[in-house]
Amino acid sequence: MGVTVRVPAVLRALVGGRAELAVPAGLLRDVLDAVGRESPELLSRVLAQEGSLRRHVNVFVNEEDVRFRELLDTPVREGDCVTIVPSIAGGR
Amino acid sequence: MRRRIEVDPDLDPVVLPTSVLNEIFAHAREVAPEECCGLITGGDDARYQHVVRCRNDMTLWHRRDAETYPRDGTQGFYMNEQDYLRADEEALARGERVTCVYHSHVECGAYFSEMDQDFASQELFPFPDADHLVVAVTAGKVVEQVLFRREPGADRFGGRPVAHDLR
Repeated sequence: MGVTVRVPAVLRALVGGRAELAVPAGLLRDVLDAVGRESPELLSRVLAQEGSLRRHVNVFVNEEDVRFRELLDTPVREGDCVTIVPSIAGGR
Repeated sequence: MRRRIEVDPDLDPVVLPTSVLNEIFAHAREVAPEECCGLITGGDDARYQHVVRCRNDMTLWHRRDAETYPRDGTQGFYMNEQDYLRADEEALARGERVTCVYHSHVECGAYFSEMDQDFASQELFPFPDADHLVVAVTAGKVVEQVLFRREPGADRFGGRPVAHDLR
């Protein structure tokens, strides 16, 4: 069954227009490694050079932001959904 | 280092439909003293057609992790991701796109802050061609609105006056 990685419309050009990718389960870092094998460009937008999540990008496993779980060590199980979402914020 | 951008009265005004502005003003007034946020969608023939309100999650994140999110919703906005992704998908289904990101400032002016520019200029910003509308709310009333747009050939935003179109 594997894991579904949802790619928002704004990033689909980096994965040939696909809305979803299917990759094996594992830790989030393993899932992102698999994403990187399909699209190094997408992975480079998600992870900084030192390998941590970029500041303006959020990754959810199902409905949970991984910053409030175990970051790249968050377990991603069979049937889970990973969503990559750039953040929109600002203020006075 | 970035500095806040104010309205430039020498730039041509941008005309928005009154109905669109009224909806955004109502949103800003209703959620004050928190900042509101949302999107305007439209097409090539009518750039500013539909207003989509989004939830401002900044207070939520601040309560959860005040170190990473030092501001609450009275001093910033953090657009709910599910809201904006849904709005984007629905706009695409209508043959539209997101043409403007809006938010309010409460008890201060309608400028484009350093934080606004920081997010709008990031490599992954989802709507790089969109304008940014900032409305200022003071004492429960909208007192100023400015539209910030990337100036052609310049790596910066210009603040344009906003005019109403009564049609």
